[in-house]
Amino acid sequence: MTPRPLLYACVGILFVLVMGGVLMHPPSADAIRASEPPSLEVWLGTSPYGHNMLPLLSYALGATAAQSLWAAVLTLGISCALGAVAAMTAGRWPDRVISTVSRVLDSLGVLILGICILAVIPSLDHWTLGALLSLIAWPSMSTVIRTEMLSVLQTDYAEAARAIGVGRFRLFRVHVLPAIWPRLQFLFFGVFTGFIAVLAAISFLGAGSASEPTIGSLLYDSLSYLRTAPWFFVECLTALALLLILAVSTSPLLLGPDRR
Amino acid sequence: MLLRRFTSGVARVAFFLLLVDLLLFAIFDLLPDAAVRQLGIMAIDHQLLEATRERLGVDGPAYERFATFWWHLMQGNLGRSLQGGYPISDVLVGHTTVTVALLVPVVTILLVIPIPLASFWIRPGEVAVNKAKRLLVLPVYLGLIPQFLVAVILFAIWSGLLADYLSGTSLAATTRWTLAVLSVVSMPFTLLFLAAVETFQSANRQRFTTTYRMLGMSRFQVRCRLMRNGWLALRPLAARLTLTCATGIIFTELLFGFNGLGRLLVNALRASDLNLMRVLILIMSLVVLTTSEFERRHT
Repeated sequence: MTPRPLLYACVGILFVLVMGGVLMHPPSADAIRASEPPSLEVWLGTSPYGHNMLPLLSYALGATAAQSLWAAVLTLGISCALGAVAAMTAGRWPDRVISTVSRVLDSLGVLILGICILAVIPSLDHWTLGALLSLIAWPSMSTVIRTEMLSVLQTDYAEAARAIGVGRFRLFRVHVLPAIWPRLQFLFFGVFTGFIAVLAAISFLGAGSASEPTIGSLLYDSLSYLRTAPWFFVECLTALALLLILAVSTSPLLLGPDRR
Repeated sequence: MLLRRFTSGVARVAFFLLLVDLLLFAIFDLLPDAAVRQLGIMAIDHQLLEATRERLGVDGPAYERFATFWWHLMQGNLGRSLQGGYPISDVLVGHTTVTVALLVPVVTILLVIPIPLASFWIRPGEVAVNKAKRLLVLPVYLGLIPQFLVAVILFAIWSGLLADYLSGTSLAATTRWTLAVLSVVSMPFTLLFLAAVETFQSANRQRFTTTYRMLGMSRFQVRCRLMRNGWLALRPLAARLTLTCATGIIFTELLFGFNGLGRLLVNALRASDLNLMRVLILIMSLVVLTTSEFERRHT
C-alpha cells in the first residue's frame, strides 16, 4: 500500500498545479537563452524557443490538470443526470434515445470528436473546450451509472420506498445516489486521468490554438530536438507521466482504504 | 433467415452512420467559423466564397448539402478535398494499403496471442509458469500507458538510439515497422489480455473445468473449450478495441512516417481540409459500427 504521507503529497502537488493552471499566464520566451542545458541557474534548462522550462512545464501541466478536472466534474454531472433518466425510464423512449446518442458518440470517441471541434474552432479557451469535451465523454460513464442504478432500483428498500409514495427525485437523492457514490468516485478519477491523456493527445496532434503552450504540443515539438536538446523531450515526457501518475495516485487517498 | 439478419444489420449500421455524419456535418458545416476554416482567406470576399463553395459542391442550403453528400456517397463519389480540389477517393486508394499493411499484423497478434497467454497465465502452481509470469508482468502492464505516449517513447527509442545505428542495413526498415506495430498493439493487447484473465478466473470459480473433466474430457479438450468460451465472452470488447487500434494508428503513422490513413487525417486537420476529415472519420466510424454490430449479433 502506498504510504499516506506520499499520497497527501500527491494531492498537494496536484492542487498546486491546478491552481497554477488557473492563475498563471504563459511564460515569455528569451530567444538569446534558447537551448540552454539544465544548470544551477536554470534548473531544467531552457527550451529551443528560449522559455525557462520550469515555469513553462508548470504552466502547461497546470492548465491541462485544471482543464481535465473541470471536464471531469462536468462529465460526472451530465452522466449522472442522463444515467438517472435512462434508468428511471428503462426500455422507454428516453432510454432508447440516450442509448442511440451514446452509441453514436462511442463510435467516434472523445479524441476524434475533440479533434473535429478544434479543427473548426481552434481558438477555444480551456473552459469551453472542457465543457464541449464533457458533452462528448459522458456515454461510457452514463452506461455504468444506468446499470448500477437499475440494480439499486430493484432492491427491496427501493421498492418499499416507491410503494410508500416516495417521489423519483427523492428516491434518487436519498437511496440511489448514496448507494452508487463509491462507484461514482472511481469513475470520476478514471475520467479525470482519461481527460489528461486525451487533452495531451489532442494538442500533440496539433489541434487547437498554437499560441498557448500545452503539454501535448511541447512533447510534439520536443521530438524535433531529440538530438540537439534531449532534456526538452525527457522533461516533457517525465512531466506528463508524473501528472498521470499523480492523478491515478490520488484516488486511493480520497476514497479511503475501506472503499477501494 | 440469414439474408434477413444481414439486411437488418446493414440497415442498422447505415442508420448509425447517418447519425454520425449528421453530427460531423453539424460540426464541420454549421458552426459559425466553419466556412472560414473550410475556405480560409477566400471567405473574406463574399463573391469569391460563393464561387469557391459552388465549385467544391458545398453551396446551397444545409439540408441540400447533407442530402447531396449522401447521394454522391451512395454512388461511390466521396467528394473533393478542400485543399487542392482533388477527388478524395483517389487519395484514399494509396493510403489505405499502408494502413492495412500495418493493421494486418496488429489484428493477427490480437487474435493469436492474448487469449492463449491468459489461459496459460491462470494455470496455478507450476514453478516454470510462475517464473514466466514474473518476467511477463512488466511488459503486459506497460500496455496501460496511454497509447500516444507509447508511440512517442518507441519513436524516441527509434529516432534517438536505433536509426543511426541501423541506418543503411536491411534491419532498419524491419525495426521501424516492428516498433510501429508494437505501438499500435500495446494497449489493445493489454486490455484484451486482462479481460481474458478475468474471464478465465471467473470460469474457473464456477467449476466448469471440474464438470468437463468429470465428463471425460482430456486436459487439452478442456483448455480448448475454455478458450472458446473466453472468445465468446470477450466479443463485447471488439468495438472498443477497434477504436483503440484506430486511434493508435493515427499516432503511429504520424510519428513513424507511414503515409497511411492516420497520417492523412492529421494532415487534413492541420490544413483544415474538413471534407477529407469528414470522409476519413466516417470510414473509421463505419469500421467501429460494423464491429459493434457483429458483437451485438453474437452476444
